[in-house]
Amino acid sequence: MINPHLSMNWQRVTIYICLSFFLIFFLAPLYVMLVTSFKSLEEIRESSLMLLPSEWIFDGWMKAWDHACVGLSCNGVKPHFMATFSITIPALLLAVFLGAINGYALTQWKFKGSDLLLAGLMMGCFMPFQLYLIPIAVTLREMGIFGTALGLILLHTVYGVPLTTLLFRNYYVSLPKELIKAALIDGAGFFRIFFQVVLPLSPSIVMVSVILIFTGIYNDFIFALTFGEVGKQPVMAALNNIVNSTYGVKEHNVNMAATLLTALPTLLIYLVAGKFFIRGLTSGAIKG
Amino acid sequence: MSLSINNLNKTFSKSLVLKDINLEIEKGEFVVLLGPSGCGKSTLLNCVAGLENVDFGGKILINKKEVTHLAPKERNISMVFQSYALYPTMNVRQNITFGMKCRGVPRPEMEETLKKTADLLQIGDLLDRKPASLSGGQRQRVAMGRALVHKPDIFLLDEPMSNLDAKLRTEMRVELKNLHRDLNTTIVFVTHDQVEAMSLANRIAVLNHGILQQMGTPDEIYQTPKNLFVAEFIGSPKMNFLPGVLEVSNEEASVVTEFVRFPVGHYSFNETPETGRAVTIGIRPEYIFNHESNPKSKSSVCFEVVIRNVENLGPDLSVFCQLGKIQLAFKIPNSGNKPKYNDTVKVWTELSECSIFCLKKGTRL
Ligand SMILES: Nc1ncnc2c1ncn2[C@@H]1O[C@H](COP(=O)(O)OP(=O)(O)OP(=O)(O)O)[C@@H](O)[C@H]1O
Ligand SMILES: [Mg+2]
Repeated sequence: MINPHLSMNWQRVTIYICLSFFLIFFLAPLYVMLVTSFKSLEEIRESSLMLLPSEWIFDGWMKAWDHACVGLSCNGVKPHFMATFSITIPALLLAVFLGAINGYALTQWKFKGSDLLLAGLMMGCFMPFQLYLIPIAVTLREMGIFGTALGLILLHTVYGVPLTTLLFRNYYVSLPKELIKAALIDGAGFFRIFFQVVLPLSPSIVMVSVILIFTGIYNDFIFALTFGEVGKQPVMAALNNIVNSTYGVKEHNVNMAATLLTALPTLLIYLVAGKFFIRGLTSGAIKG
Repeated sequence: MSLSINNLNKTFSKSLVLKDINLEIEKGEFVVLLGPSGCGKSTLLNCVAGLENVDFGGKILINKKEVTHLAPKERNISMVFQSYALYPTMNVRQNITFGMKCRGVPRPEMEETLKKTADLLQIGDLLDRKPASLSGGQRQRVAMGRALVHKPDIFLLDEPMSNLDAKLRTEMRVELKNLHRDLNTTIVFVTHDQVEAMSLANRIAVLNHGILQQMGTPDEIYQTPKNLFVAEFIGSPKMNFLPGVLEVSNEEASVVTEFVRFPVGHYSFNETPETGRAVTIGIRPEYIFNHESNPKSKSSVCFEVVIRNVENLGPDLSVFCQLGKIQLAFKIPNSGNKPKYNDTVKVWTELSECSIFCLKKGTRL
């Protein structure tokens, strides 16, 4: 006879072993990066990858933040953070706001061809960026905003809107129609209904959109590299520049520190807003 | 204010949901739209409110002024929805004042209206609560309040009581009736509950498959239904129907059914009766008795039935029985000895209030 408790335990153990394996698998690189960033260059060369630093040194972090060289200027990643945020935040706000308005209009104010419009927007979500690089370059140049922060803001807004529209649309289709009808009878117009009735109902989907769009723009490399302002590229492009610089010795501790610094904001946003993200996902926000 | 609906059609993606509706509603009237689920009641109400466009040619007039193409807020109507549709993120106060804010009512006037409405509906101590924390009846009152503050010419209520339990529903009926008396506004009330319709309405409009079947006072609807649908839809237990043939001899008409001959000489026909016409005679359960009602009445018949089921309603008994293959129901006072299953009993029916319908067309003769 097999003891049911025993077999339960064995199942447990197996599951935990599997989980531990994956945990180590995913966390090991992070661990290596972290310890490496605190080691001196000699120690990196001589000691094992997995060992803790014999002496915790902050030089790598200092240099990465303040005076690592990106191209010709040696100010670390600091100025590039500023550049990234001055692009990410406006583009993020615009994309989420426009997406919300679109989603609301597409579900609650159905008009002729609104379904067609939605289908078009869906396509926008799935097109690879590379396809557009040259047309975008020409367009931005014609508009006179090539290589400026404004150009990148515009770009990210335009590419964020399809996704946010879809997210909000899927959230708003389940909104009771009678709510809008009641507001119409109360005498409210399109925007008043949006701001006072619909938007207050959407915090979780707003959070989902903010997280997705933020990480999307923040992690963008190809646009940043191609269209970023020289000397003020977004941090992703700058990071690439630091890590891939071909001059002198490879400063692994600086590279690791710069990478960790760069990854920090996305990490933070998931920690802070992750709860809403999960809630938004489970409330049927992303489906279909 | 008066409301008239002329030649209103409504199509939803090629299916005709409302067919040529014509309605005249007087100022201060309480009209109930009654019909089975899916017959187009809500659609009609939405059309009146301006939330749905009507097909070309249909006209809606409020107080003799055409409003067919006006936006909802320009029609001076209010509506209470079946689901109440309270704004979930606003508290009761904000829910009620939202409309006034949209319409730019000055603050002092707004406060005053709010207070008056809250007093009228007894929701003064709920003002800071969110809809989610209210009971069904409280939500319903808030929804009423939200509609009332507009001082509407016409009040549209879409099944506002369908979410309430039976006791609260009765209370609300009384409250609504009082409210109507106090405010004297025109009210159009939608329901598929005939008891609600009978007890509230000045006039009832019965709707089926998007067609207006009959419009009239509760008594007219109950006693002289215009067709088989109305006859069957109103009343509980249902009206009894017996198919038969008309026979006219010596100016005396009668309906001959399989087992019984019903003399209907007193009946005022809309069409001249002809012998041989296939008809259905409809008799309300209250007009079948288990004792001789009025021996001298010429419109009384006696026949025998077999008891199938008896339902105790407290003061009354609903008795279901069989005459040949036809199911009949009648109501008798709950006193003395109750009929038992499979008993064969004698019953008398009084035909002074019967209805006769054409079997083929279903219309009242
Ligand atoms: N937006 C719509 N698009 C297509 N068909 C619709 C739409 N709204 C209603 N209908 C159809 O119109 C008919 C009438 O609907 P309506 O909501 O008016 O019924 P109702 O009488 O209010 O029913 P209930 O008592 O269940 O509320 C139904 O057959 C419904 O399927
Ligand atoms: Mg309805």
